[in-house]
Amino acid sequence: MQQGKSRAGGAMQEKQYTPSLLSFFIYNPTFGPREGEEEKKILFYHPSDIEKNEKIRNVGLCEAIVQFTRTFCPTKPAKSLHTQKNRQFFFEPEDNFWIVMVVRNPMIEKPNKDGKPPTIEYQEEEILDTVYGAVVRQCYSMYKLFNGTFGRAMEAGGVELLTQKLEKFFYRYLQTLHLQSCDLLDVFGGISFFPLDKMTYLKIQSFVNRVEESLSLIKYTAFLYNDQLIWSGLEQDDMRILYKYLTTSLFPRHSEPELAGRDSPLRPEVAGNLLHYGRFLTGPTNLKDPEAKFRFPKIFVTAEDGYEELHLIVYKAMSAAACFMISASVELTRDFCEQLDGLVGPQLTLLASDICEQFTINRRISGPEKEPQFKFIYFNHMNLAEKSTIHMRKTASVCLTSVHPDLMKILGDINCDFARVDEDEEIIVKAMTDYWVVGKKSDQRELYVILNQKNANLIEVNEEVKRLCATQFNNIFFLD
Amino acid sequence: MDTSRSKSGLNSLSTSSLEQSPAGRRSSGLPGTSGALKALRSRRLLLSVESLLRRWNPEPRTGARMTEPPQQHYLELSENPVQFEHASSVNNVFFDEANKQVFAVRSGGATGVVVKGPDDKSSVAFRMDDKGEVKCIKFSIGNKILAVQRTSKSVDFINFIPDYPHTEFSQECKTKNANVLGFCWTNWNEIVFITDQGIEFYQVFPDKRSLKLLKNQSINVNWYQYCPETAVILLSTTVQGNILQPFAFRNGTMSKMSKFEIELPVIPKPAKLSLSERDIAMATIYGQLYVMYLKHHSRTANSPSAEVVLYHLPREGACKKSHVLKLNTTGKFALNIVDNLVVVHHQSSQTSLIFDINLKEPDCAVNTHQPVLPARSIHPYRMPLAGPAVVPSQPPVPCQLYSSSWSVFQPDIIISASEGYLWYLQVKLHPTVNLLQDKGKLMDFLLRRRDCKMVILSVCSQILEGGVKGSLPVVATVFDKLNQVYKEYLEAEQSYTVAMESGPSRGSAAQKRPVRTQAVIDQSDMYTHVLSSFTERKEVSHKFVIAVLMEYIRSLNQHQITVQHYLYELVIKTLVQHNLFYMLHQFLQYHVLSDSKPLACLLLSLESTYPPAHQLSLDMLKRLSTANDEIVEVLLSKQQVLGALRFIRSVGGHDNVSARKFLDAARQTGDQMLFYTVFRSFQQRNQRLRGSPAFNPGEHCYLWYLQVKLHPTVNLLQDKGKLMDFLLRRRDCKMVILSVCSQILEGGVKGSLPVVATVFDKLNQVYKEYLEAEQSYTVAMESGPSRGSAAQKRPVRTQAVIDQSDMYTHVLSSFTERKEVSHKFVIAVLMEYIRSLNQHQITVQHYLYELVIKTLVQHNLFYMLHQFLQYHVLSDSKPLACLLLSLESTYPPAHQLSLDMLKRLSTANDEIVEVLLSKQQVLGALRFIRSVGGHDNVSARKFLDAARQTGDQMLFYTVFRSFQQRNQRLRGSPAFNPGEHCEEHVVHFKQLFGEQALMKPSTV
Repeated sequence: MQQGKSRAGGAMQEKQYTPSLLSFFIYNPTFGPREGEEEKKILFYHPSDIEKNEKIRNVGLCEAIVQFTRTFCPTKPAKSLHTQKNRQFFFEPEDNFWIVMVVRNPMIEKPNKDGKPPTIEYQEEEILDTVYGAVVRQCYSMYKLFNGTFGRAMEAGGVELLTQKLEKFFYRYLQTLHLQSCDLLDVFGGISFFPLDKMTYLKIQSFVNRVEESLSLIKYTAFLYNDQLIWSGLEQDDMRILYKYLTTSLFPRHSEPELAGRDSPLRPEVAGNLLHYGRFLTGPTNLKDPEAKFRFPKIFVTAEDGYEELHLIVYKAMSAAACFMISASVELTRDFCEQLDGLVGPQLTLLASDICEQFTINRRISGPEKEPQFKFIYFNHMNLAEKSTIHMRKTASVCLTSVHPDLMKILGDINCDFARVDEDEEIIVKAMTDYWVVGKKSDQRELYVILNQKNANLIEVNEEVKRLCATQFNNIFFLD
Repeated sequence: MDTSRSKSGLNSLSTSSLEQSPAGRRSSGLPGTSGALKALRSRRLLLSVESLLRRWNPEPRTGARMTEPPQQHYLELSENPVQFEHASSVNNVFFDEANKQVFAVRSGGATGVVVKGPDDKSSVAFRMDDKGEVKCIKFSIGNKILAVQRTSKSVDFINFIPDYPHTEFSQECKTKNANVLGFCWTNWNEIVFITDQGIEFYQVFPDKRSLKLLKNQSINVNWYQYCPETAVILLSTTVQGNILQPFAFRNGTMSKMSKFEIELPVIPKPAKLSLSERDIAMATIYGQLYVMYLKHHSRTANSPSAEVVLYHLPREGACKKSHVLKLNTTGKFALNIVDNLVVVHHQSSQTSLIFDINLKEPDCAVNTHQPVLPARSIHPYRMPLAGPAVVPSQPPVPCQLYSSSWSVFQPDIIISASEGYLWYLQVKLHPTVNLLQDKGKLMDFLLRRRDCKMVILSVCSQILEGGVKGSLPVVATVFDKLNQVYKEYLEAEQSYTVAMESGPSRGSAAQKRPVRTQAVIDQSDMYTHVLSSFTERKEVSHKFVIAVLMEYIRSLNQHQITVQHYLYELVIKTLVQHNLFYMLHQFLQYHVLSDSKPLACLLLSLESTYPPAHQLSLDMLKRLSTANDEIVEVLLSKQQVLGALRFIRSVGGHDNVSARKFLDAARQTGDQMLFYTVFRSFQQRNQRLRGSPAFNPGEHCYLWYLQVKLHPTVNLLQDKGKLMDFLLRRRDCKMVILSVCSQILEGGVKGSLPVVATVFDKLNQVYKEYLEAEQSYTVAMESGPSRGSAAQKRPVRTQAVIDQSDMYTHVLSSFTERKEVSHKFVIAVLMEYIRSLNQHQITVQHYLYELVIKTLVQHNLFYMLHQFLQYHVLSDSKPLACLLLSLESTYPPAHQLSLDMLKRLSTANDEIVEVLLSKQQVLGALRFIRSVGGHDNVSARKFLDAARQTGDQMLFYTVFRSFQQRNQRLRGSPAFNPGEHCEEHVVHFKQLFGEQALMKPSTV
């Protein structure tokens, strides 16, 4: 986001480069143990146009590092390798399968006089292991959500199938990685919950139950409003990654046409049903279309005996979205979709306007003074609830923060500190730019606050944070 | 017919009033009983006692007794009918609607009058003189006065009050030429005569045996009806009879209500009486008075079937046509009101219909009603063969239902005069359940019935257990309907309570405690009868169970009813049973399960299976804001003592909290500093609150106080030596002593060194004594128990014994790390301690030396170290020597010091050799080992290795030869033993110097 941003200051123009993806590869050392067969180890390599020998060299290097570091701690192999120009992240999601991501360090290009080539200064310490480590793990989780484990592909069709699947998935997925805007939130991988009063929530419950009852094919349902979760029938870990997919990929892709004008060609054709605003985000765009295909994306979630393959139907009416998950062994027909549309559409439309109404009422009651003047990030490990007033609304392409990246890095550092110890603690940092950064850990919760008070002292900052806790988090138990 | 009826004394108790058409009315009595029965109604005009009699039209009996329909019957006759002597030529039977009494008058009363009421109390038997045929006979309310009408001009009275004259007295109607149609008692001593020219309202004075006219009203009357519940008399006036004039009576007053007109289907020309009293009935439905009019279908009008039209008769204001009940058939009908339902009996089909005027019909125009249920006959009834006197063994015979001998009275009475029975009609709710498919409508219907509770509950169970697909919306509707009623009751109760509290003066007298009808199904009912058993059913999917429970909670919430804890518990139990913790979590997140202490406790109990429950529980307690004590308990149980303390302070509860609880918990952690902190915190609190740090006796902290009471002494006794003397004799002194030591050291006061010395001496004195005792005990034990006297006991180590380890851990190690203390002082203190130990002949532990050396080295005080060593202040030991060796790089003389020390130790020759060899001082090592006489046993290989590493060939040669010589000397051969592993070196030697250089075994 700050690519090519120039710092003012004299005639010298400095160019700053953000971290970027150098390469991303997946290998399994057991696939080509003998000399001359090294290429077989490589299951996926990005960028693909790299010369074969270099690929082999890079993979070999990683293999060696992992093997070497294993001698020091066999249970915890190396997680990352810091070099001047880049940083490599290693992750072994399944036995012998390694995912490696190489990120180029951010750098500053300083032009030199006399037409000499510019000097490049790498900022080795600017990126955090935890953040990008989490990104790698997320890549795998996302693959697993749509394809199941690597092992599953191996069982089904051997290496050939696996490489195919990897190619197909990561080719597109890697394009959506925005490494420059990764931060603490990626570490948390949290879920944002929609605030709602009890009665409306119960109405949603009632809706979900009724739909599941009358369409008994539906195994799980999740309900979201405004890209925030309200109800999940899936278990937490599965919901976490599905939520990530929905909010960073599926919804943004569909919101752009929605935001476009009525007459815009982007706008999908209204299905001719004016009784409700419901429509399928996955599967057929228009039920009336005789050519319509009733194919839905399949996802894999954990079940009692390993994993379970499901159709993912996402149905949306105004801001309310319902995800219905149906066992993949069932073939979905036009009849079913029409039935679902007829049943869910009107109810969901009604619910959406109910929720909207409730939300505005609550907002009016709580008044603007309750609106946060603080910049903070809150995360609860227990229920994965996250809340950030630092981040602007996420769009498909980029996630904007309202604070300087330096501060975000401090947050990341504090988070690392917290991860090291088990006890509750509080860290207060005065940043270079007159900002105060407060990290607080209580039981399973973490809270990070950024205060912009130039002349405040430690006591005042502490008081301020207490005040924040009292207003924003008055209904949870925060030790202070 | 009316004439004939009156002439013949009326053949029938019953008159069918609601007939197919006015023209179809017949006068004759019931077939088979014709002439045998005396009717209750004695007048052509309906002034009689028996307000409204309904008799069927005689229909040719085809013998088609209704075959019992396979469907269930929802109407039945009461189990215990009132039995009386059936009507015959000598026995006239009368019925009084006001008192619900049946009079059997034998021979005009001369051979007895038997009065049977609904209960035994109202049953009377007496005799009276036969003064002519009785036309009408009725008791006043409470059986005080009997009124008998024998002529059309007057009414006779007999006192039934004890001690009052029993002689009859009589009252003629005041209006001249008027005929008395009948009379009604409106009170125990108030009576109304209805004549064909008006009404006369009298008060009866039984003691004076006279009547006083209270009021009268002239009006032409065709017939009248009386509703005893509301004390309203309805008069039919005008020629056609369809203008009805009601009068209301209350406490000696008579009020005229607004008159109204019944719309006739056909206006007859010329005008004649067109509205029969049999087509009109009065009854109260849902607390309101209605006039019901059976409107027969007319051939001219296009309404194909009969209907019942209800006119609402309010106390004030005009009467209004309010409801139309569609009968969808024609024929002869009779009406009853049971449980606020209008029951319409249809004789020809021998079935009955029921209507509920409060049941809204969605697809009908307002106030037009269809029957609630399909037509069914009354439940078959069997009665004993020949009256009550019959032999019990005889089987009862089926009773002829819908018989034309039946008379029907309001509200729910059916009388068969020919058989001598009076029944109450009853509605059975159970059969309705399966007749009404629309469960929402069924609920509406049931909720308005009297004994509905169990039926409703069973319907709920049925809906749930059926588990029919798509039943969830039905369940929701049913719950909503139930909770609507429940809510209304709760609100009424609430406003009553408020009114009561604000004082009876302000709340009007009309404010009555709301009656809880059976329709109020509260959460407890639902839980006990429906939900608890439902959730336990194995065959129902847990998904459905949870959906139903949530639906119920939603409905309660929607009606703003506080949900009871046990429902939440049920939800949680179900969720936990199926491991649906995440679902539970989400419910709690949105406060679907309202916060409460019990719920929080329940969650706490789940912690072991679902750890996040802990956090959920704490959050809930926090939100409750009244549960601070519980939060403290939870935290304490988790040993988060400081957290608990901080929490209770933040909520301002610190002043009132039980100190003991905190101290208990702090002590359990085993963390002494924590205990100290907590204790001090409470002392400070005490100080603030009561001006003294002491605990109140009520706080039960004496035990803890004892433990810590030594702390305050620290600051009170300035002379530290004396303080130590004092402390060393106390029981729990260790921590205090150590803290005193720290304090003295950290104070860093000038001139404190002597104090430090004194303190150390005192401590070490005690320490020494203990060590000696221990020593002598060990000796005694070793020398055998026989010599040691039995009194020799293992010495007890009291807390006053502060050993070096204690000192090191709690005082010295932290002290030496303090930056602000000068290193000089630090070393002085350490030396003082070592001095004191030495003084008491206590072996100084290595770690103390190490501490000294570390401190010295840190400050580059090598020379000082050197001196200490020189004077053996730091006792010799191998570890110390090694430590010194390690210092060599920074302080080369340490090497020497170390070697010196090893040397002094005399058991460290090997170490010295090693040191020398490591320094490549191979010859030195060799010489040393020779000098201490260890040469013979030393490992040659070690030396040769070292020598070879030097690269100095001559050195190697020398060492090699030296060992060859040793071998020669020891074993007579220069060769090495194979065990010495020197083969390699032999080969090396040969390479360097040739075979011949090797020493040959000497023969000398």
